[in-house]
Amino acid sequence: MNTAPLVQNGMAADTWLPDRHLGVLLAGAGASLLPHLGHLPPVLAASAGAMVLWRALIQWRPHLTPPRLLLTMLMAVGLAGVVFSHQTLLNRDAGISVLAVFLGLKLLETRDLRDAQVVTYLCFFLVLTAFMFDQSPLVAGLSILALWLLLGALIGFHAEARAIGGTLRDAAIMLVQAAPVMVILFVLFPRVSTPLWGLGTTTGHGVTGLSDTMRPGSIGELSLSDAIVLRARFTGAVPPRASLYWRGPVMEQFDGTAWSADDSSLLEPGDVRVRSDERSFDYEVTLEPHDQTWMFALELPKAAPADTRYRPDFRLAAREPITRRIRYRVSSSLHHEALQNAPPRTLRRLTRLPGGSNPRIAALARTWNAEGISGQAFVSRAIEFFARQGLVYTLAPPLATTADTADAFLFDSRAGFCEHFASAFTILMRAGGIPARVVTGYQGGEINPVDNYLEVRQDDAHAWSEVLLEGAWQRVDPTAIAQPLRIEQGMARAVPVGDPVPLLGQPAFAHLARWRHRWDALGNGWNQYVLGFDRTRQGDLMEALGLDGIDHATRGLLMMGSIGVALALSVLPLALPMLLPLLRLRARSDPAQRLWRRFCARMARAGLNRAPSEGAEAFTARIARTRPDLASEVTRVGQVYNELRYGAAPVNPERLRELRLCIARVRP
Amino acid sequence: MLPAFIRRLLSMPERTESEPITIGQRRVYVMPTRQGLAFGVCLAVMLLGAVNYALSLAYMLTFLLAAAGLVTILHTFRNLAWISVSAAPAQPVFAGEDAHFTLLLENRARRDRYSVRLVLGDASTQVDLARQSVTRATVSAPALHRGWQSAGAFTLETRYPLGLFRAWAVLRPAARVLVYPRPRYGERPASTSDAHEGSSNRRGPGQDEIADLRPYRAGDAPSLVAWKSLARSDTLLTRVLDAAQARQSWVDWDALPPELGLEERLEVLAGWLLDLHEADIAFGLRLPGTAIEPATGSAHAARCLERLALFTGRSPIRP
Repeated sequence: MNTAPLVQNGMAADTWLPDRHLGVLLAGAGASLLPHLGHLPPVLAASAGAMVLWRALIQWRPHLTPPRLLLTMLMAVGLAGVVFSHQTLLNRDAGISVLAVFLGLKLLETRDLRDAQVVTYLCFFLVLTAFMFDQSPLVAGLSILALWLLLGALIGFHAEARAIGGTLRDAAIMLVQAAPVMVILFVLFPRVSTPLWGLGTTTGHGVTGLSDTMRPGSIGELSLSDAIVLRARFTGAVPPRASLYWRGPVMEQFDGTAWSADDSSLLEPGDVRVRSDERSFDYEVTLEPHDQTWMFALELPKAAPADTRYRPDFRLAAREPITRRIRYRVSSSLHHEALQNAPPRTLRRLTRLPGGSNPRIAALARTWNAEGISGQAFVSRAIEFFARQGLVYTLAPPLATTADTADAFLFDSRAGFCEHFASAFTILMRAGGIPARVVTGYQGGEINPVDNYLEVRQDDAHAWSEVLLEGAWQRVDPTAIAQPLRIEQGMARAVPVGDPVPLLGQPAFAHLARWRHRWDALGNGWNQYVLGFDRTRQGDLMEALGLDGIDHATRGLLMMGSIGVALALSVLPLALPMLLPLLRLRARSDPAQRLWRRFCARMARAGLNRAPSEGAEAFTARIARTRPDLASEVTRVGQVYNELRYGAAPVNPERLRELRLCIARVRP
Repeated sequence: MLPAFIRRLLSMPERTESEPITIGQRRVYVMPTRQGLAFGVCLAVMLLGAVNYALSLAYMLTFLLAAAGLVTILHTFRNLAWISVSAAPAQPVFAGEDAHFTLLLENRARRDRYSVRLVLGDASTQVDLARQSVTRATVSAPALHRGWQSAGAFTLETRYPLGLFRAWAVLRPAARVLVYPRPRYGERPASTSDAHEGSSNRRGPGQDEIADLRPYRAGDAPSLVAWKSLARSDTLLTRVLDAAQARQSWVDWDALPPELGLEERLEVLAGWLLDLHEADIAFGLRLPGTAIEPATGSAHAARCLERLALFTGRSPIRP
């Protein structure tokens, strides 16, 4: 079985790959394509898959091999398909499509080892590009599977006679051996914080989340999703739930039904100032991508993290839309004065309402104004009014029949979600001449007992009001006034039973929620320590290891040294059986044998080589025949050596000395 | 050919080594192949992508592949190291034929080795070595000149498991082959009763009398087939030569025309001798200064051919 077919005269390996190893290669190619099915244009994904199958068919029916002309045509069609789907060849997504097309075509013309090697390299790239879309553990697992199959196929092509059981086992062993080195490289390889080139166009993936406009029902939609918006880890104490106002888009413009945020705030940056108390909360936010620039922080952040702007409406904004999970540290003060020192003309724009909209609220404000109520008293009066109005907090408010939705909410249906509350309250304020605006964001969050991260979900989405009194902004949460449970225990407990809240948010599913906590903590661990292992995390880890002060050269040495150790350790189990015979050889070499070796070496110098098959007796006998002058000493050497080596008696130092003397006497 | 000191530095043997040659770890060289370099370029591009998009999993993938690449160095090395090599005796061949050198590759390890390639000049052969077994690997090289021909340096190499690296070792086992002179048929002296006195009572095989014809048996020399009678009767007959005559046949150096050079002379003698051997006629060999008494059989023929192959006599021939 051990003689492979004779390949003469340096000819390349066979030009037809063995079925079983090709099968493994095709499976590996399939596994590399699989994570792309979600975002490749369906036509291209289908044709790449078809070409994998076609190649499998060729193995059975070689006459189906496409001629070169057809391949060229397929290539042209494929590229045209990419251009048609992406409108270009030159962005990232188009590049991935081209890669998939190339892989399919290369497979079709794969017939020897070199082709197969190119195929595996293409697959490696394809696996890598999948991470641009999804870095979930599932995709990671799929990638490992692909890698395993591809390596198994390569091993098979280099040992064609092997069964795939053996090649796949060896591929798995190689991956396991490679893992420690991978971890070292991953931890120690220096990270940069800025991209080397543009990240390419990223189209929105239809992420749900807050938007920069708020119309009735827009936040209520979010409450049906329990997707995680952000996770926060507090360094010290966690503020009470009722204080967890995550500030998001601030809406200063109202068109009668919808509030909207203008990216250029009405207020000038120089006009705001935060006066906060000493007590502050430090935390690190891990924000899921939402394709917008705003970043969430508890009211009010003391300063903006690096690379972000602190806008005059007291919210943090990234310079670019957030298309990937980001992490930032913020320090917030919950007791603060947000001072606004804008000219009166600007402030008047914060009291502007479209003429004639919501006439009943406007009338109410006029009544109060006529009573001489203004300023703080007006706000208190409004709060009292909201508390007494019997407003119902519900996810399923009746549809408004008029354009004046705030009027309808406050006086007719009296049932609404937080955006109705915030909108109506703010309109009332503006109608009363008090500068006011709507703030959207999230309220609350839940500590995951598994990893102690505070998780904020889409169903925590909230809207509240802010009024400007005597030069300082004050938060008023009209929802909390009418339905305190919303703030204290969360949306699911505040809405009436029967409202469509997320399944796991319902109190009856508490035990399921425990499992969700574990699952979320797992996901968070993956995000934090695997995906989120960036420059900052690396720095933290180096610091924890006491390696933060080292320079690049030392770091490089450390990296290479540890890789060497890891390689040695991972391969040592393999090397041991190889080294053992050597060790045994050394151990076996007793004094008599050493003397015998010396004797043999001396004889060899005289041209008398011991044949490997010759024992001591045969060798000495031969010497005695060819060199009668040495016969007596040499024969004695043979006898004594044999006696010492193989005799029953324990080694006698006397005899050993005799052997030494005999050998010394032999002078060829 | 590398200078001697470099060869020593690379521990490449200059001379034939005593066998079995165990490929110690210091003799194994490992270098990336073209595929390995391409793999490195791929990794570099992948790393750039990982850095640019700050994708942790892309880093991991790249590093895992790089680590697998490093691990394969050891696997490739291990696939070759500690093989014991010894040369099997090579069958003598005639000049102009291919000499087949067989090496015995002993795998003492408790694991199989795969795709070990034995290279000699332009020829190579690839074998798998099962655990704790001896595998024969044969490569051919043209036999050019009569005499002992040494195989020279063999290279044992492997690219297992991924083809990214090539491990090789240069070996000089005592593999040599005896090359007989290229036999030249049909140029024997037309008559033995010529030039030299000493050869007057000896006759070349061409002049043997046909004593009888017997039916052809498989293995009979073509030169003894009675082709003329085949034309007549459609049956293959073999000429049986006069045994008495044959017993006295001498393949004689001096029977050849004096104008022949040394090599041509040996070639003619070889052809002559082979004809006699194939005809199963006892013959002796007479060369200047040496002679082999007439006998029959393969061993005898081989002995005579060896004498021709190793003959270092005078040249040019005295008139």
